[in-house]
Amino acid sequence: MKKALVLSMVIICCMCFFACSSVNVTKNAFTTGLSGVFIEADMAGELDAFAGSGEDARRDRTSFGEGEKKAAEYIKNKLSEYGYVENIDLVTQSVETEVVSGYGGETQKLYSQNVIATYNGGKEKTVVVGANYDNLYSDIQLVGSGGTGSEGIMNNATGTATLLQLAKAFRQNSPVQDFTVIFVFFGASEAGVVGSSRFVSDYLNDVSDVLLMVNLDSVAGSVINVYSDEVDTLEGKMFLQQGEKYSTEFKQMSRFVPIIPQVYAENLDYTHIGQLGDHVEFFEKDVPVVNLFGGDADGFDYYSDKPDSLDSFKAAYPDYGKTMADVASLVYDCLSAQDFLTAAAGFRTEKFDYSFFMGGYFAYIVLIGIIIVAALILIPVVRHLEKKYPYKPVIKRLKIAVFGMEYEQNTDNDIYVDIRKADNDPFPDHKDDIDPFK
Amino acid sequence: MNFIKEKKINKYIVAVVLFLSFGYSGFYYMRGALALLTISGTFVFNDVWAFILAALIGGGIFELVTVFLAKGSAVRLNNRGADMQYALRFFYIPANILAGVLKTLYFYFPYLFPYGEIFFEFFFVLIFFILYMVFCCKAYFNKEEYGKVVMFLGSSFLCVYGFIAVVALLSGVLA
Repeated sequence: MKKALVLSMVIICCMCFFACSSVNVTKNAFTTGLSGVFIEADMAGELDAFAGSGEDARRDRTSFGEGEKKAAEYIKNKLSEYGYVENIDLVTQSVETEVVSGYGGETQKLYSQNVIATYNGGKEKTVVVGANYDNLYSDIQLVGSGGTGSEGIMNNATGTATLLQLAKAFRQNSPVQDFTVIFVFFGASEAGVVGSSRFVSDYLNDVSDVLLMVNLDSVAGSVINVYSDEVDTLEGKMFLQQGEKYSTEFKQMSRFVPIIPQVYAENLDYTHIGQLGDHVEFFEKDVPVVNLFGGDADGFDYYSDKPDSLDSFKAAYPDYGKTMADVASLVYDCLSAQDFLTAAAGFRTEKFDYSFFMGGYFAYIVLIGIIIVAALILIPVVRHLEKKYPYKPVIKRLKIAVFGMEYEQNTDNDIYVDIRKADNDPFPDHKDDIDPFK
Repeated sequence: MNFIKEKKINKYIVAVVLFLSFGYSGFYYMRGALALLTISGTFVFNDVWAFILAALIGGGIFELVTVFLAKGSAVRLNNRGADMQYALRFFYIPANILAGVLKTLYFYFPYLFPYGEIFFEFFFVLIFFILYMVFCCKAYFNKEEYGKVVMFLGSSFLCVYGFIAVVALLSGVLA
């Protein structure tokens, strides 16, 4: 027993060592300064303007709806205002998806749109910065999604406003880089990341040219989580390292979030809260991603879409302008750094490849194989035991002593019945039975 | 091991510890499943719920299966089923605890989750079940009966885990 316990502990230690030794990211060559181009009041103003007020309030931006379309128009106008020229570096990508209404029902089409602004176009390499602008205010009956009544201020007017300011800063400051930056405002995200899916499949020519995708999702609160992958990555480390310079806390996503036993991203055999978002479409294509998102990611109810209005949001996150400015600065500083391209060269290569561990079906087949082998081993073991300790059936003989006789040898292996005396009834429980000989 | 043979610890105390060990071992999987329900808006769960439900479901299934097997073994194993069921709890407790300890690796290396849920528990349970078979043979049976005891226990164990593996594989493929 002791040997078995010691053996178990040794195996555990070996597995721990194996797992620990495989995820170290060694490269660490990235330094930037502080941009200081984002002002708290501007960020707050951008959010207020996007949310709107009175009749112009954009409360209902439900995926595939009219409100979403109007919000897209607003974003497009804003980008034009910031210097992006329609059909040159500002386009609207039409997003179309089909749904079947009911079992065997008619196929119906739903329409949404991505708004795409391009900075420094025509370069071979690309960085994508994205945020979704829709919400789930009303029902989307065709996809069976119930409206939450949420105005989507935290999720994700904050990301949209931050992205607008980022696009503005790039256009105005014109940082010199040897790569293109694409700012994408994803539609139909809350209805199953439809907009980002179409962007990856239809708009991008070659995902291998995408150096990095940065997703802005619910950027408010005192802590912004940085999620890059299931293992430490260079890009994640870059954002965390740079994030130390701002008053907002940028932290690696908590290790203690629940792992959901359900497949969401194709490359992952389970769902991780950090994976939920538009970046997942890029992640599935092995594009390096960084997801920046606020909220208490340790808890169970992080992604329950609570109703949030502009007033309740401002009450809950009074420093939202500062947080948004810090997030925008982080992205801007990382992308405008001189050595970004050098660092980006290692994004895809300097990462522990954990794809082996994602073979769930393979593992079950191996397990069934182990069980079959164990069954095959069991048979000779049983035969060995039966041979070593053969079963000897005890045949008990009935020995009766009658008048004038004695037992030959009284042993436990036999049954002795003594009928030498009349009161020695061998079957006392059957006195009342009918005697067939009478 | 005489304390098991002589049943010196109340069976309900052992059962409670067993349920707790199932809670610890199944905690990681259960909190993910409950997080999914929370996201879908059914109910807001937390870690305490995850532990309790893992304990109740894991322990409940264990008791159900072992009661069934104990009754099924009455003829073959000389009515020692109840004693053997009592003893089995003592071997599952350390197996569950060791599996639970190993599963804490998920927090640091989440990609171990798919394989971990398939292998960690089976690995430890298999080791402790072999020890359990040795214990049962020595404690409750004559040497001549070792063969049939090992055959019954071993085949029962492999059938139960084989069934679970096949169902999990099929449900995964069909899903």
